[in-house]
Amino acid sequence: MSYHENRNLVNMAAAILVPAVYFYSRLNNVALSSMESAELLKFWGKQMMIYILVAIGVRIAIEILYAIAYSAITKESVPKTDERDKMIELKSKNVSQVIFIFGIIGGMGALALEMSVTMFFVSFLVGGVLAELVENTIQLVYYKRGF
Amino acid sequence: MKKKYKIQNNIRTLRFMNEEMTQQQLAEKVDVSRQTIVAIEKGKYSPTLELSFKIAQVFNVPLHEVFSYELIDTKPQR
Repeated sequence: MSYHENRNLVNMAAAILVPAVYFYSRLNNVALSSMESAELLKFWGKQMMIYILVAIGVRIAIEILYAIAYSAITKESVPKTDERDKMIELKSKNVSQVIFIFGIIGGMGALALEMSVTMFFVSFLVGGVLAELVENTIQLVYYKRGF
Repeated sequence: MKKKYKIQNNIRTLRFMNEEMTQQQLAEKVDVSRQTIVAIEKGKYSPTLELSFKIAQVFNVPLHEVFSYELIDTKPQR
């Protein structure tokens, strides 16, 4: 498998593991059902803000470590991004953005149906994870086929 | 009748005629990855006009000698 194909697989694993580990550690022993709406909003807002920073940091670290590991194992330099890579990224992002928007709409739907604030953020988060998985899957297919 | 066209290329032949230039060498000359050259040669990816001109420049031939727009299939229109 090429550098990009392997990177897509690493990104897909990270897309699942990073939020899973983060929210498992944060939500463990937290009684969400006993919180008031305002308190719940503050809690989720804070968690999401921290999560975004953590996710960005972890992704950058994974990207660097993967590039180092790839160079060390294959003895080849990391391929530079060219116009085909950009086209593949653009095509996959077009689809992933739609999925992410559905996540946000789903969250707003949950609020409209008078569901818990937690459902809004869960829908938001699931939309984000699914969008990332689909984005990397599409990229993987394009790289496997050539374009 | 529906006419279907595809961008065809002679990169493989041109590489062979230019001292059997490798895909990697061509990729380095036009500043893309080897995988991109492979995809172009197989007709999977149509390069931008800029990259097309760069490839033609490497082989020192006009663009139409590298790429052509050819009829590949005809199907009845629905």
